[in-house]
Amino acid sequence: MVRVDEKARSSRQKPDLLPVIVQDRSSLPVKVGDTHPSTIARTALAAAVLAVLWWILNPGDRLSWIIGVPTILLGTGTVLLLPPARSQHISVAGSLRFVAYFIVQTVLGAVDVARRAFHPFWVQQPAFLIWETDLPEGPPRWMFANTVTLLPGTLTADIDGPRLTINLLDRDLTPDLPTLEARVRDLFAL
Amino acid sequence: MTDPWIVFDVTLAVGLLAVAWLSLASRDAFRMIVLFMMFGLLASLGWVRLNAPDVALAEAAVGAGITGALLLRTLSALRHEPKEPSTALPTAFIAGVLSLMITTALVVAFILAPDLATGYDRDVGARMDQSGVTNPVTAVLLNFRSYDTLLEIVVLAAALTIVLMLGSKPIALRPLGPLFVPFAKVIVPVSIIIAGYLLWLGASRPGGAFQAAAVLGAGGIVLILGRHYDPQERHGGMIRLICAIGLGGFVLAAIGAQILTGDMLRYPQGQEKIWIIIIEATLTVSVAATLAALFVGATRREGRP
Amino acid sequence: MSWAELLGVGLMGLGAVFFVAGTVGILRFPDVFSRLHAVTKADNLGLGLVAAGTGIMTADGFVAAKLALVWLLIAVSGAIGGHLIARHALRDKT
Repeated sequence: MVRVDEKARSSRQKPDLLPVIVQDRSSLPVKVGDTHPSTIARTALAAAVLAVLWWILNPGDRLSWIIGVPTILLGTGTVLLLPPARSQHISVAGSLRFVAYFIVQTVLGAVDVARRAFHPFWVQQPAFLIWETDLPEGPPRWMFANTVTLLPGTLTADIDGPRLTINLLDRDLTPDLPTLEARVRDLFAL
Repeated sequence: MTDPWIVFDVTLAVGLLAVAWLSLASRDAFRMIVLFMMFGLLASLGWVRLNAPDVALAEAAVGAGITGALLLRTLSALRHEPKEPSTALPTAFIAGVLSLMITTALVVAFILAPDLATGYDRDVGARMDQSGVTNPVTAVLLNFRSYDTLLEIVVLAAALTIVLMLGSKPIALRPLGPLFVPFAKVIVPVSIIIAGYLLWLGASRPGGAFQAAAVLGAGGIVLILGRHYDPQERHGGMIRLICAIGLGGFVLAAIGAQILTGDMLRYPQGQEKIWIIIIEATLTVSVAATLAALFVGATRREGRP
Repeated sequence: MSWAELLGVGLMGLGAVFFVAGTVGILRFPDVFSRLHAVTKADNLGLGLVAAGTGIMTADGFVAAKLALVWLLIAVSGAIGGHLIARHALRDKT
């Protein structure tokens, strides 16, 4: 069994125009210079999304709204229990490009890991990589961290502010994280 | 001509026995629980093969999901307790004899059963139009044999009452990091919608109050684990009330039906569906609260459900 | 068999291969992190392929949407579940 835990450091700094973000507890989002959607906007959005979801699950069943309406109200209520995120503009074209990129990378990631699993003599040397992302706090960074997990050979093991601890399946891998960052920026029109 | 499914069925049956044995033989509690959850999932597959998707859903949601979560939570509370000495031989002997007796009784009942093929299908089928719903399982659970369901709710309420009276170690929540918030934001509202969907589905297809409650309870547990909602702090009294309302509402329905129709739990003719939906909706919310409350445990002793 | 059935079964079969790969990965990979790679990535694509195959075979938009929802929920839970386990393991170690 080979077990290599090497902290290969590869951080980079870029001039950052975004406000400094102070956050270390998920339950207490303290942000500076953010705009949050109003409670009314959040409620309306949540209710609309949940209503569409109900319609997809119960197509053409008008009676189902007897249960549907109270369910949607309850769902909307719990959304309000959760801390709001900074309102984020999403680019339609960017999201299409992101989805295409995401699907290709997901397939590549799965094929890569399957090849390693089935390979008779593959000696893996897992390693860790510290990555400092310049994506802003909130949905862009969440999207980045979660997508990293599905990319070939990378897994977000820890996240602390802009610093991501990424596990590499093999130390020889060179994940293309800047491209992913660019895709996320494209998605959120940053 | 043999059914090609026989290969699958035999593998599944052997797998069930193997996992059950591994789970019982395991010396490590964590391993035991994981194997038990695996057993629940395999059993649920077995129910699918027996054409009982209702039971399969319940088994997967309650047997593997919620029970597994409760067992893991109990394990984390037990971790720091002194280890209990292993079971004394006489106790093991008595347990063995009792298990053997139950097994024998079941085998005898199986052999002596008149005609296994018939079951209750025909009796239920003949009266389906009186039940108010089109899913035979729901018709049995909430109309023809609703008394049994009522007693099940009593058992659940009793379990929660005991937990609240004895008090249990408060659950130790570890910070889950910034990525848990967006996860909760997606999963909690969607789990509520899916619970409502399962509840509504129960009237016509596999689904129903217990499956819905398991999903709803799981959504609540996500909120609690992420520290977005503290039931003790926010409104402990109200939660207890919601836990109690399932049983209370069902009993009230029984009394109401007694007054209206002269028979306990015989719903007024033509209004069966409405009665069933109201009872099921109340049960869903109440059972979900009960499951989540069992998961969280009670820290203080004042107040009763 | 119609082309839709053929394609559907083909996709489901391919999905099953990825599920097997994920399981083999859990058994063969050296540490908890590598095993998480196997589960999150291979099983995610495996389920996606099975859902796509089923969706093609049913040829019903609403059923396909439901399957897409199932896949999406599992993908989100898988990614975050993998991350949480990795985080826990990392913090226990250091």
